[in-house]
Amino acid sequence: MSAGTFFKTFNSSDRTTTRTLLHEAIPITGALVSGTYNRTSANAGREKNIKVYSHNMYQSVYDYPYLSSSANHIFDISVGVSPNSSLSASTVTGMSKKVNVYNQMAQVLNGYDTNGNIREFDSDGNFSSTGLKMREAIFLNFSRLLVKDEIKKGSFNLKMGLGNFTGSSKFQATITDYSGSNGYLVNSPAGEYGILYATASNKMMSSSLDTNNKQRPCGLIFYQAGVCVLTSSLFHTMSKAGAGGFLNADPASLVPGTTPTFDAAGRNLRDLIGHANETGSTITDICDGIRNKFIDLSFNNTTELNSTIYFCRANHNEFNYSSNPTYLTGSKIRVKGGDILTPPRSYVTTVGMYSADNELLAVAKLSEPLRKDPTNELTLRVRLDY
Amino acid sequence: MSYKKFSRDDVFHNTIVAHPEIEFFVYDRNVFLNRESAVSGNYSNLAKHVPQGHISLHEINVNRPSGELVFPFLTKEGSRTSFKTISTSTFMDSSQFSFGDNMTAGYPLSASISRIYVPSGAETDTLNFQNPQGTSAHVNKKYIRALENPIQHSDQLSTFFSYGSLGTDNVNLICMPSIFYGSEIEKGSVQLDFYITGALNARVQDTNKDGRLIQTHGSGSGRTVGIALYDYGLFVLTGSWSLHATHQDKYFNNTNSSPSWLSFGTGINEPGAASSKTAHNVSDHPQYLVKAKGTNRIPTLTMMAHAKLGELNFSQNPTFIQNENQLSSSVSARSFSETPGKIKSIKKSNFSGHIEPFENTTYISKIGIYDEDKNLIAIATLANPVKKTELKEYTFKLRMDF
Repeated sequence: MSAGTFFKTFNSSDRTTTRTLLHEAIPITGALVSGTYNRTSANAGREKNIKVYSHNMYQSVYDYPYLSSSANHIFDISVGVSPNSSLSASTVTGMSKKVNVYNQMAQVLNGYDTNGNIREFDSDGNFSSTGLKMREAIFLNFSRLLVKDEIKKGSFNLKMGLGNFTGSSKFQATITDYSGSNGYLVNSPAGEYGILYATASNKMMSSSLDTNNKQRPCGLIFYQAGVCVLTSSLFHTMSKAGAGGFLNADPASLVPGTTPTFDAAGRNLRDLIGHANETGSTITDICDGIRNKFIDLSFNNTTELNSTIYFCRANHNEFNYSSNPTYLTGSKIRVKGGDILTPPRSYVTTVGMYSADNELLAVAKLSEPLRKDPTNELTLRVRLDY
Repeated sequence: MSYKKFSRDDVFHNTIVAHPEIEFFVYDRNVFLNRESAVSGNYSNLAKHVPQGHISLHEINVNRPSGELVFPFLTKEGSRTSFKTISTSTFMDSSQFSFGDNMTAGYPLSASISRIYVPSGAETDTLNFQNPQGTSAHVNKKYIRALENPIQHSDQLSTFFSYGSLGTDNVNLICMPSIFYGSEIEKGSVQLDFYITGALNARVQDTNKDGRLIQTHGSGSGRTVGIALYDYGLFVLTGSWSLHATHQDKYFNNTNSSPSWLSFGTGINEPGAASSKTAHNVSDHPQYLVKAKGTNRIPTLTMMAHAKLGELNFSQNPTFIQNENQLSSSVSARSFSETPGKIKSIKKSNFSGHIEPFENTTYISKIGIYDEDKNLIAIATLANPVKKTELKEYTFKLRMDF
């Protein structure tokens, strides 16, 4: 240490901040969402890792029977219908809840327009355009335990079956946010979001609306909120009047029937949501059909690690002496071995970080002591993570 | 009133100290944590993906196929952040990691109790003129050497805390990772039981709460078995007397020996060199119990929010004003006039046709906590709204754990 001082003050060049992104790969197999656990009558005929609620507004998926303390909540599934949808006027089962769910999700994720109206989910993210609106949507709300700070842009990958309720994995679509890493949007009050694109064989997916080599916008993913929004059109054919479906009008050679069924009774998603000719179904029952379509899901999450790096500099004439009581023996510096002609020296083992009031805040330990004498200078890099 | 400021006596900090109990039971070389058996999953592996008797740190991988586990990764970049399992030289080696490459680690991280047997002998390697070839100390001696300062510095608890000849004696270390006990093991809570053929043969406790482990049951009761380093989760056992008159087993090698506190814990995972090649090859399935209480300190902030007489009797909620008599204003070339709204009377009369006189009434349903810059930082929601009139006053006790 320099004469007369014990503390050395950091100046601005001795201090810098960094940010590191820690990611986790989160694979979720479709079997976990539907199939791993036996259906039980005690859980209303569903798997033991599926939690349903009497309010019938959403369904929760766990990675283990949810009554176990080991179970982790993975995500919730719900379905919503915009008040502007032609289906919203229907009086089928649970329609008011479907409208409420849509409105709630839309006002949080999209916000309001200048007239105070809730913005609808837009397939290209441009609210001012007259582009396609997603008025019947499937919501996947991922747990904060998995999402952490945010979903890593460009890492979302969801495979869903486009087949019927039985044998749904026969025909598959892959849904990704492949443009997310540099093509994300920022006009949402809930943070950044990207557009999800579906890919399937050109025989399965209608070609008239194709862009980007059969990759079609089919939903949105809100990275910080951890919410995935899928349009129900993904599961409908073009021939369905007003449905604007993605599937080929004549998929008979691929998908039996005209459009994939979502329950054992042979009803499709639009019927369940609330087609005028049908009785509709509760959100909970629709979620069963959606889970049945899951084949594989994976994404990477992100945790921000903020660090401050302090460069602790010991100049040639500093910190060559110690106030440790064992430093001296018989008024002589012990580490000099009794040779008074050798220069003073010390061994640095610890760096203490003090506040402006000289209170010890943090201690950094070296893996091995470093010799310090007037012939050398040291710069110790101390990183403090938050 | 929109904001009320806490006075000095309304906010106080305290610490709740919890003592969760931890129990390890060892039977036939299997360790059971809190008497829980490992549960098989649906994918030919264990549901928690950690061996029996272990705790999973994040417990994020539950019942998954082996190739579908959650794992962390970092990108090699200028901030030079890496995983602890990747050494500096490996990090620097561009043939292994280029900038932009992902460095992966694995979940789950797990921990369990462990045992280290340090046999008697020289404490350090010997190399001198009489012995130029040198004699190496047992590889496990480093563990007891590392404890010299912790043992010496714990002497405020008891005069028994002295390193003395521990460096050359037989020592049996039982090690409990801090994830189980938190800040420290509660003094006096430790209990070590030695069962032989299903019967309790000997027990050790810290009856004086001074870190000295005293045998309280079986042959040798009253004798000091060793010491407990509560801050470190270590039990240093040195008692070498026989704990059973006739029973013998192969605790250390192929030769039978009597059970003692030095053989306590055979079958527990040994991170150092195992006590012998045939260690744990005991035939009578000895059982051991390690029980202790941890210490978990929870800093707590308690705030007293007062709703005094005549306060908080107005609401900004639009429904507080009668719908037909809302506040209105008008601006003309010469004036600005404002017509106050009329507060809705919600006081109900018990009598038919009678209207109760108006009284300022609100229902408190939430309390917002703001920082000095008036940023909302916390909300306390009441289980049921509380009716507040001008003649009532309340104090709400808010508590926040960290």
